[in-house]
Amino acid sequence: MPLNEMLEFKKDGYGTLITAAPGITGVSLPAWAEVVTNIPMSFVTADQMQMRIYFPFAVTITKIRGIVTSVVSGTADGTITCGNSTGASTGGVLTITLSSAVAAKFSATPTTNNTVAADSYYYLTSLKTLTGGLVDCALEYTRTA
Amino acid sequence: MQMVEHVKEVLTMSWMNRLLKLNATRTTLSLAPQVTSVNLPTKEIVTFPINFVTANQGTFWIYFPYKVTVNKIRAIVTTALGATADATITCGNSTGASASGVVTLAAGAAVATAYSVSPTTNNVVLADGYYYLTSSKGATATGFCLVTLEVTRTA
Repeated sequence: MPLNEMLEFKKDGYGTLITAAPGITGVSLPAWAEVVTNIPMSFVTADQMQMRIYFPFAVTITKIRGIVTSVVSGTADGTITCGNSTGASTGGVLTITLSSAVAAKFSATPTTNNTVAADSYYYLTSLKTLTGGLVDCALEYTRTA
Repeated sequence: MQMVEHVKEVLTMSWMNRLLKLNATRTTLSLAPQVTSVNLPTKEIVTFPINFVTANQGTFWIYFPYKVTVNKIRAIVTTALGATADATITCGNSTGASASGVVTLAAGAAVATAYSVSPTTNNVVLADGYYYLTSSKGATATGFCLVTLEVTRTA
């Protein structure tokens, strides 16, 4: 089948817009991993929170990473619990060991509640009983639409 | 001349047909195996932390190595704002400020309070150009937020 029967070419404000021709009901592109970095999370009591990262496209979160940027206080581990609008993800808790030093690294691999619809969010909730510590988080995701 | 253009078109189609293929039922279009990347209009997000402490207020330029349109600016409070004055984040491109491009965070806003605006002008950034965020807060200049830019890559 020639290309011009598979695709329609139209001009829009930015240039040429390529659209699947009528009859083409799906487009399969290779999935590639992407990452959102620089999600600062705090274990200071007053700053513990549920952070919501909105996506204007559908994604599946494949990994959650955290790196300590200010030493974590002692006495109790800190946690960053992650999930989508449905609920917490299985395997989606980063446990940041008490007294972790700067540059200590952690990761978790969520297996449920890790799909995010377009214009919805994935959340990260920080919790620690004894105040103190900062973690810079990154979400690794794959676009699904 | 018309014949030359026709030959050019046939050659282009022949070359591009090697990059795309249809499944057996001719309903799903896929990239051929040798295609390793695609440059299509697509949405992306960029996050940037903003600090309203006086010494840390300023204009921050976020450069893009490709052309984008900024569709939405979100901000979520990560440290409560000082109580006396609202804080603002004014956004724009190298031409000037964007209409509807100011995020106003209320004085005393609590952690996890979320805001968003949708800029309508000066929101196109050329390749290797920038979109800026200018933070400002008067009295009780404390507080942090995380800004997310939602952009559409256009080239």
